[in-house]
Amino acid sequence: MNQEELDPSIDRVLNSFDGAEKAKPQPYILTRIQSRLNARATAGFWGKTSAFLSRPIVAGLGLFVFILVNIFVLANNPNPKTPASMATTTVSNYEFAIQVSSLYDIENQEP
Amino acid sequence: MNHPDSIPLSVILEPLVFSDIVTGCQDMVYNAVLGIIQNETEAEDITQDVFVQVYEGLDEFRNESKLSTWIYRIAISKALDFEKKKKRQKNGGFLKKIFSGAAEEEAVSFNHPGILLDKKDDARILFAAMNKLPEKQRIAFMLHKLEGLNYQEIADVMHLSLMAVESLQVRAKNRLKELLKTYYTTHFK
Repeated sequence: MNQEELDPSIDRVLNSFDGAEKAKPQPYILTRIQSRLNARATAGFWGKTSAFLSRPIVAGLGLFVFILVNIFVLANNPNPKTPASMATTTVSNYEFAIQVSSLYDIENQEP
Repeated sequence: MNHPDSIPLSVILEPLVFSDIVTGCQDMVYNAVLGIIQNETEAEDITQDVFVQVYEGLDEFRNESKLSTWIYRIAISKALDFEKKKKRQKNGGFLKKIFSGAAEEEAVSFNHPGILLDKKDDARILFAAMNKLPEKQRIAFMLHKLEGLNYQEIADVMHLSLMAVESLQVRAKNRLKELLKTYYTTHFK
């Protein structure tokens, strides 16, 4: 296709919206809008809350805050349990441990 | 029936007048949304959403602009939000998109119900080319060509200066000419 043929075709396409009528929606749109409004009005507190929480941005933000709080708590723990203190606890637990007999030991006691 | 722009703000807030607003603006909203979304079922759904937001936001409408301008803004922002959401969903199927090019085919096949019969094929090509324009250029071009708004009205709707709208129109037209030239040279060698 040469330039002389091209220009009229391009102009024809660019002007193809000329004389276009406005597209019309399906009838009874007002009734459907009113039913949507009624549904929103009767959604109640929990309906509105769950709709709000299920928004991707709210859910994402909630998760982000949760992770941030966890990081903050871990980073600022005033009394962290070091492996050494945990080891001491374990040793003292063993000292006070009571030997628990199994059912076999209870039933077959040697004289 | 009163034109929505001629209704005073105090009267607009009465519930009965809302039906006048819907009746007066439904074609305008549907047409604008359809120009962006290019799908009749989805456009109808968004049109309903727009009027729900209009109803809930009427208290915040300050009469600084015309009611129709304010409704246009809501309609365009809702349609663009929906379009972005749809694109994100499509991007989810990344491999599908690479191998099939489904988005391109869908856009080319859009048939606007208001276009004259003898111009339908050309309009289909123009809609496909419009989809490749930057967002602002596309909206400005669509509002002028399809909605019949003048540059000042477009400037009000898009919160831009008159000069900016004129510039957008010129750039949109030039870009469309380039795109159409590429289309014709590749399809009709």
